[in-house]
Amino acid sequence: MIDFDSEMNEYRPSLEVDAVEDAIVRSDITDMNDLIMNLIKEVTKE
Amino acid sequence: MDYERKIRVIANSYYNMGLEKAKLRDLSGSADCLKKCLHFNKYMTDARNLLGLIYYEVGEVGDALVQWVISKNLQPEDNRADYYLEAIQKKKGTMDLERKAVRRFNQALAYIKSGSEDLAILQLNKAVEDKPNYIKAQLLFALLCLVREEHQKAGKAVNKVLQIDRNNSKALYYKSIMKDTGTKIKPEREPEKRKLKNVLSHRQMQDDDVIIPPSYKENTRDQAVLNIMAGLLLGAAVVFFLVMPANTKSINENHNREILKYSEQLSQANQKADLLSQQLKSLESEKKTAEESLASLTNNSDSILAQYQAVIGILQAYKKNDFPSSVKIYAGLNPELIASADVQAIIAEIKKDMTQKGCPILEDLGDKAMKSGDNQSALNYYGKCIELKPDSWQAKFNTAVIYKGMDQKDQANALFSDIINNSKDETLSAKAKSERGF
Repeated sequence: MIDFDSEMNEYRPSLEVDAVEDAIVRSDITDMNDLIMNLIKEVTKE
Repeated sequence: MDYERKIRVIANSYYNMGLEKAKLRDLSGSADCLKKCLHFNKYMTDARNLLGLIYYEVGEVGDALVQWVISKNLQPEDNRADYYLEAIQKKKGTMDLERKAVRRFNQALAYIKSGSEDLAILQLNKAVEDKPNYIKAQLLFALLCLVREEHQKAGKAVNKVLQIDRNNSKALYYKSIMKDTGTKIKPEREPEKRKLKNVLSHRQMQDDDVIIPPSYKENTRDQAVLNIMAGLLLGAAVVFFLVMPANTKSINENHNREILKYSEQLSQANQKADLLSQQLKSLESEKKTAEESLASLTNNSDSILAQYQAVIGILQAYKKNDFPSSVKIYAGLNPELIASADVQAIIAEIKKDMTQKGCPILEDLGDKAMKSGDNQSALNYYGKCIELKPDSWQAKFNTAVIYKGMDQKDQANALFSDIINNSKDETLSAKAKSERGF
């Protein structure tokens, strides 16, 4: 049988069209290349 | 192989995997692959655009817009995201519909958290009706139906989700639960649905929707000519059957009115002519009467004027000492026709003279007339003599003889009897007896 409450917790509100701009600003588009570059920078600093 | 190249290879691999899954309509699996791809290489524009397309396909239009806008920022030129963004904004009303559906879903979530599941179902129902590919709304609707044990509705929603996203884990989970409960979901019959769609759209109409009737066809050139001819014929028929009779009726009415007017004028003229004709007849009658009256005064010997002339003639004869002529004229005089008292006085004088001396002349004139066979004149002279002197027996005898000759025996016998009875002249009485037949 379904546990309704736990099931409901898995549902998140959809992104509203009016909130798209905020979502774009907040979005984290860091990729693996960025991470590696950051690591390399930190290693070279040390 | 350096790390950058390795990263690119890994990203490409994920992209290819995502693409394959998307082609197989495993949208959720594809989205996972594409997200991983972008974690390795954010500049994989195709992967980002495809992820946006998958979001759009499952109804998450906000997420789709985020991906396409980021894609556009990372690669401003030659980007497919331009087309997607333009396509969404170009179709008027689409964005409104998407926005409303998302709001309904979020509102439904809020209702569920506040315990108003009925209101949530209403909102979800409306959301999936407007946007059937909204997977999250379909799944939540299926969940609520399952909880309420409305398995058929839930099954339909789940099937719809699986049509869009074949490996959707939640849909498969709900389906497995329904299988456990023994629910058999009737498969949706696509052909019938398609047929129904042609008859009636259950979708809400948008402002820019245009309804084109199934029977609508573009007119060819020949059809246009035929239509124009049919229009002309119809116009002619309208003129002939509607306009012409009305005009004819109007003309006839005017004509009749004019005829009536002329008839009245003619009738009045005829009445006037009749009146004038009657007046003419009356005047002619009066004229005739006047003429007759004038003739009685002038023409006849018995006329009034003739009597005055006779009086004048008698006086002239006296003036000439022609007494016999005066007696002769007196014999034809009728004093009763003379109205003048002065003339009557003259006549009285003449009569006195005539009584004294006129009878012998009158008898002589009578005899002469009798001899000449002019009995009427003879009777006139004798009559005048008897009038002046009633005891003129010879005149009476001669008168009786004339009456007897004219076969007027009564008058003749009366005169003979008078002579026989009253005359002292025995010879004349004897003659009278003889004539009388005694």
